[in-house]
Amino acid sequence: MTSYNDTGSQPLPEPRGNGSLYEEIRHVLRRPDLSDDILELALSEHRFGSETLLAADAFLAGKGRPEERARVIRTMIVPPPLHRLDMPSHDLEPPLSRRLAPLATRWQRVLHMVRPQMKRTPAPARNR
Amino acid sequence: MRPAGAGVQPAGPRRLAMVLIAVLLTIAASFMFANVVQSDGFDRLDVVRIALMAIAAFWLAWGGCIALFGILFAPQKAARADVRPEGRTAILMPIYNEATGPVFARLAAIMKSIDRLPEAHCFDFYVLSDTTKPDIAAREQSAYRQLLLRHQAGGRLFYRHRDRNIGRKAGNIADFVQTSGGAYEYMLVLDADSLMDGETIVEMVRRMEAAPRVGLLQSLPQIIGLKTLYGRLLQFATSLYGPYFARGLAAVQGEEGTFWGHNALIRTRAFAAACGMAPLQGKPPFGGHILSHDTVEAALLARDGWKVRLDPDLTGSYEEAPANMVDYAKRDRRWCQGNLQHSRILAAPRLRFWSRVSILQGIFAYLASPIWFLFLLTSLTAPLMAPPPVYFDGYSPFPVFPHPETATALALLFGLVALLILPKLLLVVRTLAGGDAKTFGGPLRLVVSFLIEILLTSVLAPVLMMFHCRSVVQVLTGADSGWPTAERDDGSLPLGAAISATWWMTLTGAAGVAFSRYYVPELFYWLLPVALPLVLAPLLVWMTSSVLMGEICRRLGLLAVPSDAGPVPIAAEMQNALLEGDADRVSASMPAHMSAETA
Repeated sequence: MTSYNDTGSQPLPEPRGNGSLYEEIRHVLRRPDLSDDILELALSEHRFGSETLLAADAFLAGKGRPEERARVIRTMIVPPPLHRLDMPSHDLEPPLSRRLAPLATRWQRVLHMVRPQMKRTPAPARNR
Repeated sequence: MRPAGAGVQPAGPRRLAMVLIAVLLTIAASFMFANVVQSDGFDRLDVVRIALMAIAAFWLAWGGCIALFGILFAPQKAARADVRPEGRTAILMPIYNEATGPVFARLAAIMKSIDRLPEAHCFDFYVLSDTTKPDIAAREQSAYRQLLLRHQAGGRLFYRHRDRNIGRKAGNIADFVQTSGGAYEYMLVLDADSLMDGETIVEMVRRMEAAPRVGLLQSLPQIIGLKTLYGRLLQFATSLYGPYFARGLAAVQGEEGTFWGHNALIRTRAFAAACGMAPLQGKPPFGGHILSHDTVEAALLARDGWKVRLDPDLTGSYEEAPANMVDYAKRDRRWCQGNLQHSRILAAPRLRFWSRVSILQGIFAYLASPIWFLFLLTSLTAPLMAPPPVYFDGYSPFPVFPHPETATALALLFGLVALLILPKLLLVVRTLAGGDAKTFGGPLRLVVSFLIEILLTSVLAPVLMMFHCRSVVQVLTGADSGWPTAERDDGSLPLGAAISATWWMTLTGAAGVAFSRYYVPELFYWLLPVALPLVLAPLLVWMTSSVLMGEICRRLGLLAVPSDAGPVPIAAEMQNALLEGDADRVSASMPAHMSAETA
């Protein structure tokens, strides 16, 4: 199983989440892909430590100067962007029949080109 | 100076020239050796000896040519474009049971270096952990949180842990690509011991953006941070000769270049489309997941029409290396298995011709040692099996004495030694003439260091040969190496460890000396340069792992490298980050009221 890091801290009181707070987080983190649900989870798991000047309640209430609020937001752990790419598995040791298939096709093509000339011409036509 | 997006010069004529030179030198060496061996009669064993000599000589000539081409064909420096990169880049650090502090300190240093640049917003950082030990995984998570808090890196620093390391490092990267790869134009793949300067990373992105057909851009990592005698020897050799060997490689590989698995920028979508590898049928060591995935990934990118480029002028890229011969051998054991496994994909469909040559070259890097060893064994036994001399051949009434070929043998010996030493000597002369000697401690110290390097590598060569032979035998007999964690502490070894790793070499060397003394005394002195280092292998391994001897060399200014003169800024940054990380850990382990008081 693959796990992305969570904060592992005690959950905060239910965030008084509203659209503007989430928009603010998306803007500061430059992550428009983060959905409200993900941000709600990230906020509920976020630990407000001594390194941020704003207390949890003040932050959630929308208090504090923009740079103080940005500082709090930049200490949040959010999941990485989910944008999968397909990665087809290439067989590097295919069976001989598949490996020789292009050769066989080429050979058939050559035969096809040569075959009309190999046809026996009837004698009367030759004489003509 | 070429524009940043311009391609490299066509490599076809250089490849042809290199193959021709190597083949001509091989023919000359084989012809001389054939003359030497037929002096006491000719038998089947001599055919085997000549064949072995031809293969070994070709390998030597090939290496010599790479260095020579590095001197002859210095690549044009790419012009630095002032354009700001637009594509987003993920900087990936895959880890596996590594020492947590240094790994996160390296990442912190790279982050700090990038954050100083105006392009910082284009970069995100990923720690991709495949760690299997729960205690180390817990430390990694804690270090991640501290780093994120310290750098205010929420939203751009991520930690991902896989419980099962399916596909090892290649699987780790593939997991990233299949989860988040689409969000990034490029990914910079690092190793746990990689360090890269922010300027270099941004320059790599600029070059990649300027050349849309480049799928992979490899920088030239320099080895730093080693303190043992062996480590200093490695650092000196890679600093002095490494750039020229890399230039030589770049000159012949052209746009089907090399990937060393780290410190390289990759176009994510090209990688995703081209580099998925199905496991090989069967069990390890030859079946299962492909171990040395980097060479194969480079070949697969080239197969799909992407350019794979090694730019030797991309400095500011660093790595650490094993600090002693035992750790070096452990790493080689892993690489040997991976490279020998490549024998099964040598004939993979649609690979470019030069990609196949590169794969073959990787295989030969390990097969060369058993070939030399077999050559030694057959040479020791050949005199015993030689037919008795025929003095009267029936054509002449007078006795015909065997023609001595000592002069030819000596000429051949000097020729082979010259193939090893001459390229290095040319590089030293070039460094002296180019005025770069002061970065290696000055002209006198450079020459003395060169002599020490030649002496030490010659003495240690038989020991390395035996380590390689053992690795090859283990792989061929089906012993899977697994994926042991690399040792990355100060690197010194206790004598006991050196003995337990090399006692069998002492026995082999002693047996060789005794055998030649009693059965083939004419080869006794010829064998000594190989047999004596084997007899003394435990001492040599132990002494070269000494930090004290490394320090003495540093103080005398011997085996000096440019990083001795002034600290590498990114490495100094890493040391600071390591100290900060330690301080964070101490404060985190304090009770809350104490840490508040300290604050």
